Amino acid sequence: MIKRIKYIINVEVLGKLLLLIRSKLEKLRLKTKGKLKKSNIFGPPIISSAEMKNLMSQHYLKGMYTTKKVAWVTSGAPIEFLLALDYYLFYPENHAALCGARKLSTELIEDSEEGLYPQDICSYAKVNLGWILKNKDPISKLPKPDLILACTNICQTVLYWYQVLADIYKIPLIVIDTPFVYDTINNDQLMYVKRQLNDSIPIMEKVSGKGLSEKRLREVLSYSREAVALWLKILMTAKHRPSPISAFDTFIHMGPIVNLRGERRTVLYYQRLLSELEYRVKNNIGAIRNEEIRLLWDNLPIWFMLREISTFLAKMNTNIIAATFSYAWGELAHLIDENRPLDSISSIYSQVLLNRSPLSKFEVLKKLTKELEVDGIILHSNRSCKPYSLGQIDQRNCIVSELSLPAFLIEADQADSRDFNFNQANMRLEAFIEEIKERKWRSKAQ
Amino acid sequence: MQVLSRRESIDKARSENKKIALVFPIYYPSALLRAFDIHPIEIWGADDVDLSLADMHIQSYTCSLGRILLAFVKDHRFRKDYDLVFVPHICDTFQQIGSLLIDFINIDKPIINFYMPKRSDELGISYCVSELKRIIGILENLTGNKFKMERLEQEIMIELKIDELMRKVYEKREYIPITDSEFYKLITAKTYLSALDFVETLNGILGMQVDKPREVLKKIFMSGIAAESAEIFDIINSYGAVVAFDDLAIAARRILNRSIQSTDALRRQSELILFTVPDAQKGSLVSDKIDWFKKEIGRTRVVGGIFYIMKFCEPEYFYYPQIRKHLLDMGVKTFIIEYELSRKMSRQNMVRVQSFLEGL
Ligand code: SF4
Ligand code: SF4
Repeated sequence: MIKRIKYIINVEVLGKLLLLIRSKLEKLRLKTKGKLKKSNIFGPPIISSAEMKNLMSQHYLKGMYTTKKVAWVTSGAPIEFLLALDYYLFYPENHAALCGARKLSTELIEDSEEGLYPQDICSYAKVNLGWILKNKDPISKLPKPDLILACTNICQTVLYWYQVLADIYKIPLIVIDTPFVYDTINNDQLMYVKRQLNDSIPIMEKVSGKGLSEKRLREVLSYSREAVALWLKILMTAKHRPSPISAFDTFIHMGPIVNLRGERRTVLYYQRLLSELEYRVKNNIGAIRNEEIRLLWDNLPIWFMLREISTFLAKMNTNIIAATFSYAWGELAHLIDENRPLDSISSIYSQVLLNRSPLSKFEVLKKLTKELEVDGIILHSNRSCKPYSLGQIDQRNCIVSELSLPAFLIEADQADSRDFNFNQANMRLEAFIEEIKERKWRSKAQ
Repeated sequence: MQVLSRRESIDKARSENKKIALVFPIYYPSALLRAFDIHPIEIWGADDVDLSLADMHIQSYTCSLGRILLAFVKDHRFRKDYDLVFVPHICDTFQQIGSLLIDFINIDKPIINFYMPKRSDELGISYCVSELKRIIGILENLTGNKFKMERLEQEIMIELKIDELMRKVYEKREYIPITDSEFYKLITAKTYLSALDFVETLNGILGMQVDKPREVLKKIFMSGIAAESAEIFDIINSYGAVVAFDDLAIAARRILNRSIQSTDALRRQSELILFTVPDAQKGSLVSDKIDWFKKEIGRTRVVGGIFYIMKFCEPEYFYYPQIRKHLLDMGVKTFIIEYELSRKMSRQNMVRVQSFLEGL
C-alpha cells in the first residue's frame, strides 16, 4: 500500500508534472533554437525529441517506484506476453546505451573489470554487471528483477550474461533459444521457438500472479505492429533529399520501439514524429543544412561519440541518413499478425537481422543503399558485438565490388571509450569523405 | 605409450575408404558422422597455418581457435585431407565463421552447419533430433549411403564405452604414472582418432595403472577450452602439483554428466551432446556448473584451479566470477590465465602460474 502511494505521488503526480514542465520547456528551447540560433551546420532540431525524452524519462521514473512485477529482458526478446501480463520491462542494453550516450559507461565497465569480467566481453553486459557489483546507478535507481527473459536471437552473449544475472538474483530465467537462420527459416526452427514460448507462459503467469488474456495479448501485438510499421515509415523519410532525419536521430528516437513497443503511447508518439518529419520533407528541412553526401551506418552506434561524430560529419556537409541498427526494428513489420500471436511472434523474433546470415545482412545493406541513394557506407567494427561485426570485412568488400560504393570500416566499441582515438578516427573519416567527394565530382565531370 | 598422429589417423581412415570431415570443436554428432563412414577430425591448431588468411575475413582480435580454423580451411594445402567441413553452432564466433563459409568464402567443399540447441531439456533434445534429421538428408546426398538406425546405435554404443572408460581413467588418474603433459597428449587424441582406436588408447592408459598413487604436493584442476601448451603442465608438475581433474572442452568436459535415458538412437545422439558437463556454450545454469565443480572437488580434494582461457572467448569468461566466489568459500583458490592457441606460453604467464602454485 505504501509503495502504491509512493508511486502515485512520485510518478503520477509530481513526476508527471515535472516531466511535463520539462518537456514543454524543452520543446520551447528546441523551437527557439530552430528559429533564432541558426546553426550553420545542422538543420532545425526535431521538436518531437522533447516528447521522446519525456516518454523515456517517465518509463525510467516508473521503474524506480513501480509496484508491478519487473522483468529484465534482452533487446530482441518477445516481450508481448510480459506486457500483456502487466510486467514493468527493463532493458539492461538500453540502460547501458544510455550510460554510453551520457559518457558514464566506461566507469561502470571498469567496475565490472574489478569484479573480474575481462575487457573482451560485450560492454553492455559489463555496464550492467558493473552497476550490479558496485550498486551505483548514474541514470536512475534501477528496478530489481522478479524474472528475466533472454532471447538468443541477437547473440549468445545474452545467454551467458542472463545466466549470470539469474544466479546473482536467484530468480527464474526464461531462455528463448532461436536457432540461427543460415539460409531460410524452416518449420522445425519455428516449432522449436513456438514450443518454448508456449512453455514460458505459465512461468510468466506464475511470477506475475495473473493469467494471460488473449484479448490483451492481441491488443499489445497490434500496438507493436503499428509502432513497428510507423518506425519503418519514419526511417524511410530519409529517402528525401535532404533527409529530414539522421541516423543519430534514429538512435535516440528508437528508445520507444525498443523499450515501449506494444504500448499505445508509443504508437501515438511515432504518429506525431512521423507527421513532423513529413512536414520537414514537404518544406525541405534537412537534418543538416547542406546535405552533400549521404551515408549509411552499419552496426550499433558509438554511443559516447554521437555528438562529436555527427558534428564532424555535418561540418563536411555529410549526413549519415540511416543505420542498419535502427532499420532492424522496422524491417519485419509485415510479419506481425495479432490474429496468430504465437506463430507470428515465433516467426518475427526468429528472423531479426542479427539472427540471419552475413549474406542476408549484406542484402539489407544493398536494399537500403538503393532505396536511400547513399554515397557510401560506414561499417562500425564493434569489438563488443561479434555477431554484428564478424562478417563486416566480406560485406565491405562486396559493397565495394558489387555496389561500386566506397565503404569504410571504423574500429571502436559501442560503450567502451578507452581504446577509441577520436582524432585518428577523424583523420580516416575525413579521407573517406574526400574520396567520396572526388568520386562524385569525377562522375559529374564525365 | 604411442598413439597415431593426426596424419596417420587420416591415412588410416582413407585406407578404409572413409570420408574425412574437418570438424570445428567441440559439440557435434560424432556417432552420426561415423554411421555414414565419415571420420571426424577436429582441428585444434596448426603450427604452419597462415593467419593472414583468416584476417581477410574476420577481425584479428577474434579468438585464436576461430582464426586458426578459418585459416586452415582457406589454406589450399590442406584441402586434399578432408571431404567436408562440419561447423557446430557453439558460440557467436563459430556462428559467424560457419555462415561466412557458406556466404562469402568458396572452398569447394561441402559445409555443414549444425545448430546445437542452447537448452538440454525435452525441447532442446527434440530440436536437436530435427537438426540431426536435416543433417542425415545432407549426408545421404553427399555419401550416396542410406542412413541406418542400427548403424548409428552401434556407434553410440562405442561412444558410451568411451564415456565409461574416460570416467574410469579420470577416477584412476592418481594411479597412472605419467606426467600431465603425456596424459593430455593421450586423452586429447579423442579429437582425431577413430572411436575404436580411442577405446584402445583408453584401455592402454588404464593398463598403466600401478598400486600406489602418485606422490603429489598439491592437486589442482584446469578449466578452459584447450590443453595447450604443454609447458603449462610441465610447470605444474615441476612444482610437485598435478592436474587432478579438468573441465577442458578438449578433454573431460565431454564426459556425460547425466545418464542417457532414451531408447531412440537419434535422441541418444542428442543426449550424448547435451548431457555433457555443464557449460556456458550449452546455456547451462551457473549453479549447475558450480555444483559440478563442487562434486569434482569433493572427489579429488584439489586445493586450487587454473582457468586457462583462450583470449576473446566470451563463453568461458562469463561464469568465472560466480564460480570463483563459490570455490573460494570452499577454500579452493582459482585464477585466470589468458592465452592464444598455437603460441608458446608467455614468460609472464609462466611466472603467474609459478606464483599461484607457490601461494597454494
Ligand atoms: S553482443 Fe551485440 S547483440 Fe549481444 S548484447 Fe552485446 S551488443 Fe547486444
Ligand atoms: S574458443 Fe571460445 S569464442 Fe572461440 S570458438 Fe571456441 S567457444 Fe567460441
